[in-house]
Amino acid sequence: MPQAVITPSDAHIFMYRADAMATPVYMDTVASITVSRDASARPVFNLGTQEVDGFTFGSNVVVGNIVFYKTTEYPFAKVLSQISDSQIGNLVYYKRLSDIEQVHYITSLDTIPAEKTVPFSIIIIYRAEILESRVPMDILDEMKIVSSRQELDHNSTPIVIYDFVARRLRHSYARVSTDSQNGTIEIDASAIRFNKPRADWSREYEKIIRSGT
Amino acid sequence: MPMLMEQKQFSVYYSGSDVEIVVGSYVLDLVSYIQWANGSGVVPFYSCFSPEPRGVLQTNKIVKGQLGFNLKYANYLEALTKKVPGSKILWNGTIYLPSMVVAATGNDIVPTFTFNGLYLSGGVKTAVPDGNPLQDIYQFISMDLVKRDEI
Repeated sequence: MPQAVITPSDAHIFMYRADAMATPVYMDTVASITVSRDASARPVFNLGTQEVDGFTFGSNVVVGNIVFYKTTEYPFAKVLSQISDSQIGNLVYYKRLSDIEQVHYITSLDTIPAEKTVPFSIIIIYRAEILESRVPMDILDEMKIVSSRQELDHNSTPIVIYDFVARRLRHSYARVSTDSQNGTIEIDASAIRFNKPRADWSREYEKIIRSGT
Repeated sequence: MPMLMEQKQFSVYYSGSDVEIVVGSYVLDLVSYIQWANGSGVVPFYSCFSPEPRGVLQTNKIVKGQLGFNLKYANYLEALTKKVPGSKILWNGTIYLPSMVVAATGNDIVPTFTFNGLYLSGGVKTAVPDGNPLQDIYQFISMDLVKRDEI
């Protein structure tokens, strides 16, 4: 298959929370997104030589920003509205909100700063026409917004910029159904699931605390 | 490809991100800091007639260290003693663990340090308003330390 250059028009952005939403939400007002992965790979030098002998591999951090055109609707309203009232109470960062913020979170999303939103994951699907049913997909696991700003001037469309930090960036593939005329994008749940195999004590301990045993 | 075969490859060194600490079958996933030292050594002894040492005496042996956690639970370590066979909490609050394995993973040769007979005490809490997580620092001594390079 020939290689295809991916253009911004090919990029489709979805947001989701695997533990609280049935289907990812299409983000139709995204103007741009940048993603950087800063993986610490530091050179190691030994005495008696001026050359690098090797590297250490330290922490990874995935950061970036997502830019929305400013519209009358809060950019995350559609995503947040997908989370049921019963599920939202289980989300860790939701519990950090004050009582009044929790009420607003469900009833009046516009009043909650984006920094207070619960973490979401972002899926970017690159659907170049030349590609067949298998299309590349980037997955940003647990993207947390950490700051925001707005830019309004006379010469361009007003935008809202959200800086985020994510847990990890993964690359996978989605399927595009060839049955329908529009070509429905299908995201395989197993492709976006991420299981941490380690037997972390804090997970086990948390289960014990919550079960009250 | 003899030319490539002769080329020395880059070494893999380890950073804190490679360190995995296991007690029983559980990974201590909240550790932010570990440091230890072999507390054994030698001291010179002298005769009255020479400034040079006549020989050395071996000192008492003990492994001492510190284990720091990003504080998330008040009883993170105490609760572990109920799940790891052979571990217990002593009358004065000291935590005893039969063993703890510290390994630097990420390469085919894994430097592994096994601490046997571990006593942890302290639990010094530190909170500063700079956005860093609360710290919970324990001192420990270990009766025995076994070092291995495992493949």
